[in-house]
Amino acid sequence: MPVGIISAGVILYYLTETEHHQVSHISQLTRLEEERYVWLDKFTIRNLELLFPQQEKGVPLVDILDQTQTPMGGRLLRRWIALPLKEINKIEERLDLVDAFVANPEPLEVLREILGTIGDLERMVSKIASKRISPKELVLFKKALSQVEPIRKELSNMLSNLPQKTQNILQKFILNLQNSELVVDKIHSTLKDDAPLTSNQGKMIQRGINKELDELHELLNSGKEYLEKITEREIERTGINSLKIQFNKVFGYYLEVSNANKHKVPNDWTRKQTLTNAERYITEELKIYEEKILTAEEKIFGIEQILFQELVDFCATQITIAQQNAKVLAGLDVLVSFAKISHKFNYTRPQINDSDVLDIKAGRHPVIEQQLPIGESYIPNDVFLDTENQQIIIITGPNMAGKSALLRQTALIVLMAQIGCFVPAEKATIGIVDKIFTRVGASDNIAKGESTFMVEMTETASIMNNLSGKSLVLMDEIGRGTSTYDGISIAWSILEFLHNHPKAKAKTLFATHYHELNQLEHDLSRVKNYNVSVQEENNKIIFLRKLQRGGSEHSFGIHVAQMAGMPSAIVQRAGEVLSHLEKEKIHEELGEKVKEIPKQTQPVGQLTLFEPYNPEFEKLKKHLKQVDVNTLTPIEALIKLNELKKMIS
Amino acid sequence: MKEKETPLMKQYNLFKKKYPGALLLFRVGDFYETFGEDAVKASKILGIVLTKRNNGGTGETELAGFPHHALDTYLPKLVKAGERVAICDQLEDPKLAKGLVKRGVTELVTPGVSFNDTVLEVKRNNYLCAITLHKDIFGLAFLDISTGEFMVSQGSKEYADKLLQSLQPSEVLFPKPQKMLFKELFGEDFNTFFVDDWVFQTDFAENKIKEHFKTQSTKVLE
Repeated sequence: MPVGIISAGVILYYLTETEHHQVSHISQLTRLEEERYVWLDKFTIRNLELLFPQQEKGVPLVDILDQTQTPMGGRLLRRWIALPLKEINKIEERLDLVDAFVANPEPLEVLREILGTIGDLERMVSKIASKRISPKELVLFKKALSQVEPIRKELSNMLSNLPQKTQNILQKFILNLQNSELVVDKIHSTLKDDAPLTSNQGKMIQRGINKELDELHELLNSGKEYLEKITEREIERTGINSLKIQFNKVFGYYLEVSNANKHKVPNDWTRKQTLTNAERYITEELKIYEEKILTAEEKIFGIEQILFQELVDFCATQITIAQQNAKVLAGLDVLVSFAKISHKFNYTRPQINDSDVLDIKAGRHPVIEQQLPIGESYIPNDVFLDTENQQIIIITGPNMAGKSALLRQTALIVLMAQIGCFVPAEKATIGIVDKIFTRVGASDNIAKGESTFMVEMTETASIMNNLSGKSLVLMDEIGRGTSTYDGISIAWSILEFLHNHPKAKAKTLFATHYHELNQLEHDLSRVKNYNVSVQEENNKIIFLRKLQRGGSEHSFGIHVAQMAGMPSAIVQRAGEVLSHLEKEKIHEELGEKVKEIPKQTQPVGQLTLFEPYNPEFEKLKKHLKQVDVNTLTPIEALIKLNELKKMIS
Repeated sequence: MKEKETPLMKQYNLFKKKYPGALLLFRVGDFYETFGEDAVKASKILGIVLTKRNNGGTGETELAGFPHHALDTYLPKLVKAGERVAICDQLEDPKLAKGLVKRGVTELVTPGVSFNDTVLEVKRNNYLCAITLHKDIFGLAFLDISTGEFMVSQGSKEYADKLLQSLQPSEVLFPKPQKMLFKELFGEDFNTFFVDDWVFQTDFAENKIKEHFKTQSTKVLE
C-alpha cells in the first residue's frame, strides 16, 4: 500500500510535532483491505442511518444493536457495522458464537455482568503507555484485568454444552485471552485500592514495598513511642528520672532537665536554653529525628510518586498483554450484545451461503419496529430476489404505504447478517452480498447549491458505474425530482440497464410512483411487479403495509395531501383536476404509449463502449490524446495498441 | 519606535513562533495565561474575563487566564471549539529557579490527538486521519491515539469517501499546497490541518514507520 504508507508516515510525523513522544501503545499498523468488506458507499451509510441519524431525533441502527457493556465493545460494534464481512467462514464464526450465547442465557447474563465491571481497558492501556494514568485509574486497570480469569472460567464452563464446531471457535477465543496475573499481582501488592486521583499527595503505596517509606510512615505514626524509647534509654544511661522530651517551634525537640539533675547531663548533649528551674538540651539523635519527622511527609510524597512512576513503567512493559485482552473482550462484548438483542427482540439466525438468492420471510425493520407505539406491531413482509427469475422487484403503491421502510429493512437485514448478528425475520437465507447501494429519499444539498435532482443523478450514476453480480441495489423514486416524462424515461432506462447488464445481475428493489413502469414486467423476464397494499373505504385509505404481487394503479397522493391537513379547497380542486385529466385519458394514453416504447432486452455490452460518459472510453480517450503518432516507431505503435486493448478487455 | 519587551514576554513569543496556529496556554505561577489574540479567543470560548495590561512598556496587551487546576475543565472546551492548544508548562520549581523559570510546551492538543476523557466520547473512536493523493489513488491512514488503533488503506475517491463517512475523523491532515483541492474533494465538514508538502514522501514515511515499530522493512507490518 505505497500511497497509504505515506499517510501513515504523516501521522507519525504529526505526533512528534504535537509533542506526543510516548506512544508505544500504537503497536500495530493494520491494513484495511477494501476487498474484504462489503462495499457501502457514503450515500448508503448515510441513507440507511447506520451510525448517525439523518434527522436530529432519528435513531441510527447502532443504537438498536448496541447493548455492549464496555466502551471498547461499543467502539468495535461501530467498526463492524461500517465494515460488514464478505467471507462466509468469518461470518459463520460470529453467528456460531452468538448462537451459543442465545442458547445459554444464564452464562450470557453472568458474562454481561462481568463485562459491565471492566470499563475502558483499551484507553487505560494508552494512558499507561503515555504515562498519563492516575493512581485511581491504575487500580481500575488492575480490576479490569482481574476479570479476565472469571470470564475465561465462564466461557470454559459453556464449552461442554456446545456443538463441536462452536466448541472449537470458542476454544480459540478463550486461548486468545492472555494471562495477566503478573501485572495484576504487582499492582495489587504495590497500590492501595483507594488510591487517589493525583500521584503527588501520597496515600497510594502499600506497606512493605519500600523500606524507607515504611520507616517514614512508622516515624509519623509511632513518633510518640519512639520518643518514649529514647527517654527510657537516656533515663537509664543518665539516671535522671524526671527527664522529659518536649517540642516547641523555636528549637524543635529537646530534653528538659531540672536543675537538681543538671550535673548528670552527659557531654554529648548540647545546651540550648536555660530556664529558672530547668535546662533544655538537644542531642544529635533528636535533631536527626526532628529532621525526619518534619520532612517525612514531604519525603513520603516524593517516594510514593517515584514508586508510582516505577509501577507505571513496569505496567508499560506489559501493555501488549492488556491490549490483546482488551481486543478479545471487545469482540466478546459485541457478540454477547448481539445475543442479548437477538433474544430480546426475537431475531433469528440467518442462513448464509454464496448463492445469489436473497430470501427473507416475514422480515421487519429493526429500528422502526422498536419505535412503534405500544400495542401496535410491525407488519412483516417477505422479500425474495435471485438472478434467475426475480432479479428486480418494482414496488408501486401510495405514499406512506411503507415502500421506503421495506427497501431499508431489506438492506439492514442483509447488513446485520453479514456483521454476524441475528436478524429481524422469521427466516432469512442470504446469499453473500458484496456491495449495497441505496438511493433512498432525497438528501437535499441545497445549502451547497446543488439541486436535489443533480444530487440524485450523481448518486445514481455512481451506482450504475460500480455494479457487481452480487450487489444489492435499492432505489426509491428515482426521477421524481424532474418532470414526469423525464423521470419515467430515466427510471425506465435504469431498470433496463440493471436487467440487461452483461456481467452484473444486481438484485434490485425499485420503489416508484410511476405505474407506467409496470409495463417492464412484460418486456424483461426477471422483472416482477409488486405493490404495497391499501384499502379504500369511504374515500379514505387504510394502509395495510403488506407487499403483494402485481402493480398498482393509484398513488393516492390527494388522500395524503388531505391527511396532511391541506386546506379542503385545494384538496377538492385537486380531485377535480385529477378526474378531468383521467377523463381526458392522459393517463391511459401514456399507458398506451409506454407499450410502444422500443424494447431494449439485449445486454448492454461492447456497444456501449463509445457512448458518452463511459469511464472506460474516457480513459481511452485520455490515452489516445497523449499519443504523438509522428514520433512513434512501428514497434512502439504495436505496443501501444496492445496496451489500449488491455485497457478494455 | 519599538519598546523593549520583558524577558517573560520574550520567552512567550518564542513559543508562540514555534507553534504557529496554536492557542498558547502559558503557565505563570498558578495560572495558565493567554495573551493578545489568543486571550480574545479564549475569553470568548471559555467565558472568562478579558483584561488588559501594560506589559513592560510594549503597550497594551489583552490578557485572560484561569487557575492551573481548571485545565481539565477548560481544555476540552477549547479543543471542541476546534482550537489547537499548546500547553506551555514550567519545567522547574520556581522556588529553585535562578532568574526566569524554564518553560516548555509539554503537549499540543488538537481535535484529532487527545487522551483527555472530557474531549473523547466513550463509545466513539476519535480518529486522526491523513490523506495522500497520488494520481487518482487516495492513501488514507487513521489513528486513534486514545486506543492505539492505527489503520492504513488506499483506493478510489469513492473508497476514501466511504472511509471518511464511516470513521468520521475529528481531524484530517492534507498537504498544504493542495488546500483548495481538499474542499473541492471532500467538502467543508471536516476539521482540517494542512501539513508541509515535504512530509508526504515515501522515503520519509518508511523511515518514520521503521523507527516507530522498530522493524527493518515496512513490508513485514501486518
